[in-house]
This record gives sequence, structure tokens and C-alpha cells, in this order.
Amino acid sequence: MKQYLTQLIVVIAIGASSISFAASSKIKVHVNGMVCSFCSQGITKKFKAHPSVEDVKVSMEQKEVDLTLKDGKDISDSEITTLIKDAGVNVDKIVR
Amino acid sequence: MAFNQRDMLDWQVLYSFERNLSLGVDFIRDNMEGPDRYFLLPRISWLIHRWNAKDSQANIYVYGGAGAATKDGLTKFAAEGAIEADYETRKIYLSGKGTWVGADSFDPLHVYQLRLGFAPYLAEFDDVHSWLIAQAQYFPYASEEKLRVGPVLRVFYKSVLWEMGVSAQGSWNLNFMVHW
Repeated sequence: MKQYLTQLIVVIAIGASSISFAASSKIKVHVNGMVCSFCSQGITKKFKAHPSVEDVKVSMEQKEVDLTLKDGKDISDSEITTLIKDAGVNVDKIVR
Repeated sequence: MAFNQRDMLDWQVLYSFERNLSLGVDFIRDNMEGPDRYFLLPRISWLIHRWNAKDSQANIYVYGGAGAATKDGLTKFAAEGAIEADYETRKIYLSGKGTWVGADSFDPLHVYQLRLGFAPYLAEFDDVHSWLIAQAQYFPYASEEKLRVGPVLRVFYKSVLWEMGVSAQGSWNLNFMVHW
């Protein structure tokens, strides 16, 4: 019984860590001022150059920048805010 | 944006070393009045302020530079200054610009420009974007065609932009821009 309980706890722990790992691999950044894609090309350029970012998708309609992170990597909110500002627009909110 | 047309050539190379500052150089060939004159002007541009709202962006820029101008075999010290402002949403675009270029003992070259544009369709980030723009340019130093009014078609895709326009008097203008 104790053995089964231990195995169950281990399985739940692995599952929980997998869930938290998957939850942090995508970040949605809501931006202000993104009305010109020619002027905002720096967004994809700057994030694709970041070592933690796997992919970047930008939506003018949704006013969003969707980041997909590499396995085991993360990028801080302050880094995101700086890169977005360097690209000429502002962060409205970051959703993880 | 530059003022490329049949009697003026305006090439610019700019590098943004800060988000609100860029260094660059302007090369201008102007033969609107008399013989060709050439200006080579290293310059600095400053984004004074940017307003980023949910659905719009507005900017004010100034730039200035100093270099040399040549005409009829004479080379003189030259300087330039300009102020530019714009407001844009995904559907409309409004901009105004005043540029002054002068050289010792040469008549100054100054240009004022107003633009009002609209996007016939809303494009996504990786789509081809098109704008129809009504443009008015005023060249006070020109003896003919001081005022040039006409349509401009702007098309851009990712980091490449080009514009083609024509005035009511038949003067064409053409601009091309690439972001690296």
C-alpha cells in the first residue's frame, strides 16, 4: 500500500511539473501602438535573436505578440518590456 | 520619407543606435532651380516623443546635420534641419514635414509636405500592406510648380517599402526604403 502511494505521489509530481513546464512555454504580450508592420518588424527580429525564444507570432488584429519559448527556458517580463519598447511599441500586459 | 522626384534626388542611410536616436547621412541632388547642386549631410535624428495608444501611434521627430554642398564647381559648408510629425492607425495616416537645407551663398532648399492616407484593406503582420495617400508638397524656392499635389501609392511587405506618386502637373515621385 505504501509502495503504491509512493508511486502515485511520484506520478502526480511528474504530471504537475509537466503541466507547469507546458504552461510557461507560451507567453502572450498585449501591445499598444502596433499599427504599422513595416515599423514593427523589429519585434520579430529582436525576439528571434533571444536565446530563450523558439518562435514569435505577431497579430496586428489582436494587438498581440505570441512567444513560444524553448524547452526549459524563460524570459522575464522586464526583458520582454524592454524588447517591445526597443521595437517602438509599448506593453499593455503580459499573460503567462 | 525622402523627396525623390524628377528634379530632386534624396538618398538617406540611417542607423538607429538608440530607440529614439539615429545617425545617418543625406545625399541630395537638386536641380529645381538652375544647375545641379549636391548636398552631402551627415545628420542625427531624434524621436522627441512617441504616443502609443491601443489603436494608434503618433510621433514627433527633429533632425539636423552639417556637411558640404557643391554647385558650379564651388564647394561650401551646408546644414540642414527638419521637423516631422505623424499620426497613424491601421486605417488612416496623417503626416506633416518641414525641411530646410542651406549652404553658404547658395539659395536655401526648403520643402514642406502634408500627407493624408488611408488603407483600402486591413493587412496582417506578414501580409502585403497598401496605402492610398494624398500628398501636397510646397517648394517655395522653385519658380515653377511650387505646389505639387497628387496621389501616392505606398506598398510594403515586411521590411521593404516603396512609394510611387504623380502630381497634378505630371511630376512623378518615387521612394524606396529598406529596414535591416
